Amino acid sequence: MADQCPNNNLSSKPFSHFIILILVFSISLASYMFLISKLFNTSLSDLALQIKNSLYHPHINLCTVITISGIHPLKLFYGALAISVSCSIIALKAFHCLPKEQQIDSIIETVMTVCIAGLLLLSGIQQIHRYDFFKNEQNIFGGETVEERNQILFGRIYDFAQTCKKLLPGTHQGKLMTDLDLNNDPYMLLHRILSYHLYPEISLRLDNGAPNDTIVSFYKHDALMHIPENYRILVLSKDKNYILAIENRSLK
Amino acid sequence: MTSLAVNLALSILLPCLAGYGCLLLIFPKHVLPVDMKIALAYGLGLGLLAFWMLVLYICHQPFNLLILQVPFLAIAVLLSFLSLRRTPANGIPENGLIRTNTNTTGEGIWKIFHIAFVVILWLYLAQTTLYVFWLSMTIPVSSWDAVASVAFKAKIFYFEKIPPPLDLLPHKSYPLFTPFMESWVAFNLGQWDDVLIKIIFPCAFLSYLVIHYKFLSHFTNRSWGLLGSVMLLSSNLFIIHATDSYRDFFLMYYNCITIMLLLFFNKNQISAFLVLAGLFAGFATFTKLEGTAFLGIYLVLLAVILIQQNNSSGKEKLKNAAKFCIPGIGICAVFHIYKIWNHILKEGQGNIDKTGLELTWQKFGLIPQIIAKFLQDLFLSGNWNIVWILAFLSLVQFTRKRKAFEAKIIFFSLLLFFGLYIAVAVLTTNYIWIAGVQSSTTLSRLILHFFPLSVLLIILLNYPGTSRDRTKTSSLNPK
Repeated sequence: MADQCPNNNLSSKPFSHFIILILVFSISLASYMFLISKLFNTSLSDLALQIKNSLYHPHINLCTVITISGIHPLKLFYGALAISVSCSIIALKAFHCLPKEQQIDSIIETVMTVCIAGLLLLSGIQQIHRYDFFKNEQNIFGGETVEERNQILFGRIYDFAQTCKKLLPGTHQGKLMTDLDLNNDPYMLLHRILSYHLYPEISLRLDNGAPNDTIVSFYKHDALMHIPENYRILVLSKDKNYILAIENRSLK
Repeated sequence: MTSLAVNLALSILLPCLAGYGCLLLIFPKHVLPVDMKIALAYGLGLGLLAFWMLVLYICHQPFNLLILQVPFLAIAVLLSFLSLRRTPANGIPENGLIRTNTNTTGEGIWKIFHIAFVVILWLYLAQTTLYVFWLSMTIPVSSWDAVASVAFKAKIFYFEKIPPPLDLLPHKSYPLFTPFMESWVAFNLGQWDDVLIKIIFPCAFLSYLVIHYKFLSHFTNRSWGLLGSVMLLSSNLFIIHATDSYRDFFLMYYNCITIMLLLFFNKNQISAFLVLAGLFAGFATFTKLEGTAFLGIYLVLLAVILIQQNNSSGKEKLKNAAKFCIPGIGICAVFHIYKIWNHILKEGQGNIDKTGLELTWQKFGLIPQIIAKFLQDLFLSGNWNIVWILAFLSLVQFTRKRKAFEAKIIFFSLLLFFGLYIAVAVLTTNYIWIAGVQSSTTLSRLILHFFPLSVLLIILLNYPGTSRDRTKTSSLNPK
C-alpha cells in the first residue's frame, strides 16, 4: 500500500495559478457582496453581519436560517459561488492556465476548488455564529444547577412538577384533567414535558402499579368543580391552571 | 462531584473496554491502529451492552448496576487475556494494515501554505468538538422525542424495579438502544441527571469523527481526510444531534460505519471487517425502525462487493456473507421476534403507525412532490452547509475519470437510501412525515442517517489519487 500519493504533489501545481484563483475568488466575492448590499440598501459591514447571524439557528430538532431582506441566505451564497466560479474560469483562461487538451478537467477542478473554498468560508462564518450562540447560552445556563437550567427551559411547568414531587410522598399514578388538545402541538409537547418531570413520583403515562390516587389539573376550566370531594388539594396555583389533588385515604 | 465524574467516566469506559476486548478477538493483530480500535470499541461496547440489556429485559430481570457492569468487566478481562495469546496473522505488517496515507506537502511557499491550512482545519475540528461536548453537557433533556419517548423510557428503566413490558411503554414498537444506554449512564451515576445521561452522544460524535477521518485518510491521505472531517462538522444538523437525546445520531453512527467497514473488507479482504459490520448493522436495527430497512441495503451492497471479487471461490463468498448476516440478522431478529411474540407490531392507527402500508395509485403521482421536498431540504435548509451541492457537482467526476470502487459503492448506497425513503413515502402511511405537513420535524433527521456518506463521496471523487487510469489531467494537477 502506498504511503505517499504522487498524484497529490502540490509542488507540481503552478503557484501562480493558485494565486490567480485566490485573488479572483476574493475579488468576485467582495464585488458580489458590494452589489447585494447596494440592492438591499445596506452597508457592506451590515450585510456581512446579517449573513453571519442568518446561519445556525437550532430549532426543535433541526437548524433553521433567517432570511436576509426576505431572501434565503443560501440562495445568495449560491449566487456568489456561481459568479466566483465563472470569474475564476474566465481569469484562468485569460492567463492561459487552461490548455485546450486539458480544458474540461481543469474547468471541473476549478469549479470544485472554488466550491470547496466556498464551503470552508461558509463554515468559518457559521463558526463565528456558533460562538455567538455559545456565549449566549453560557450567559443563560453557565453556573446554574440542573434544576435551575430546567426551570429556565420549562418555567412554570417545571416549578409545578417540582412542587408536586416535594409534597407527595412515595410514588403514585395520576389522572390528567385538561381542556387542552393533547393530540396536537404545542399542547402535546407540554403534556409530555409535564409527564416527564412529574415521573417517577407521579406517573401520568405509565401504568406502573402504583396507587392511582392523584389528579393533576392542567389548564382546566373550573377545575375545582371537577375534583371529587374525597380528594384533597395539595397544590393550587393562583390562576388555578396548575392543581394537584390526592385522595384523602392516601394521606392517612 | 468527583465521584459523579468518576462514575460518568466509568459509564463510558466499561463498554469501551469490553468492546476493545472483543475487537482484539475479532481482528488479527496489527490490522487496526489503536485510535481506530478505541473509536470502534465505543460503538461495539455500547451495542453489546444494549443487547445484553435486551436479553435481561426479555427475561423480565431487574436492571441494576451489578447485573449490568459485572458481565462487561468479565468480558473485557477475559477477551483481553485471550487476545494476548494470539499470534499475528500472516501477511499483515507490524505497523498496521489500516494506515493513514501521508501526503507530500511540497516545498517552500507551498509547504508554509499547507501547514497553515492544516493547522486552521485542526483548530476548527478541536473547537467544534469542544463545542459539542459543552452544549451536550449544558442543556438538559428538552427536545420533543427526548421528553416524550427516548429519555422518558430511560427514566422508566432506571426507576422501575422491573422494567415494564413493551405494551405499557410509550411508542411500544420502537427499538430500545438509546433509552437503554441513557439508563445505563444513570445506573452508573446512581442518580437521574437530565444533563449527564446525554454523555453518550458527544462520545459517539467523537468516535464517529475518528473513524470518518481514518477511513478517508486510508483511502486518500491525511489532508483530504482532514478536509472531509471539516466538511462533516460544517453540517449544523450533525452538530445539533450530537448533543441531543434523539435516536437518529446513533442510527447515523451505526449505519455509516457499517458501510465503511464493508468497504474496508473489500479493500483488505479481512473477513473480521464483515463480522464487525454485521454487528454494527444489527445494532442499527436496534436503534430505530428504519435500521431494519437498512439491513436490506447492506445485503445489496455486500452482494455487489462479493460478486465483483474475482479472487474468491463461491464457497468463500458464502462464508463471508454468513459472517455478516449471522450477527446482523440475528440481532435484528431477537427484538422483532420478541415484538411478534408479544403482539406488538403496530404503533397505532393511521399516520401514527410507522409500519402501515398504504397502497394507492394516486400516491405515485406524489413522487415529484416528494423529490421536491428532498431537494428543498438538501439545498435550502440550514442543516447541511453546501455539502449536498458539492456532492452533486462531484458526480461529474464519474464521467471524466475512472473512479475507485469505493466511490461507486457509496454513490450506489446513497441512491438506495434516497430510493428507500421515497418508496416509504409512496407505499406506507409515512408520507405525512417525509413530504407532508409533518415533514419539517422528520425529513432532515432521515437524511442525517446517511449524510456523512455524501462527504465521503465528495472526498473520494475529488481526490486526485483515486483515479485508476488518469488518461486526462488538468493544468492545475498535471501528471
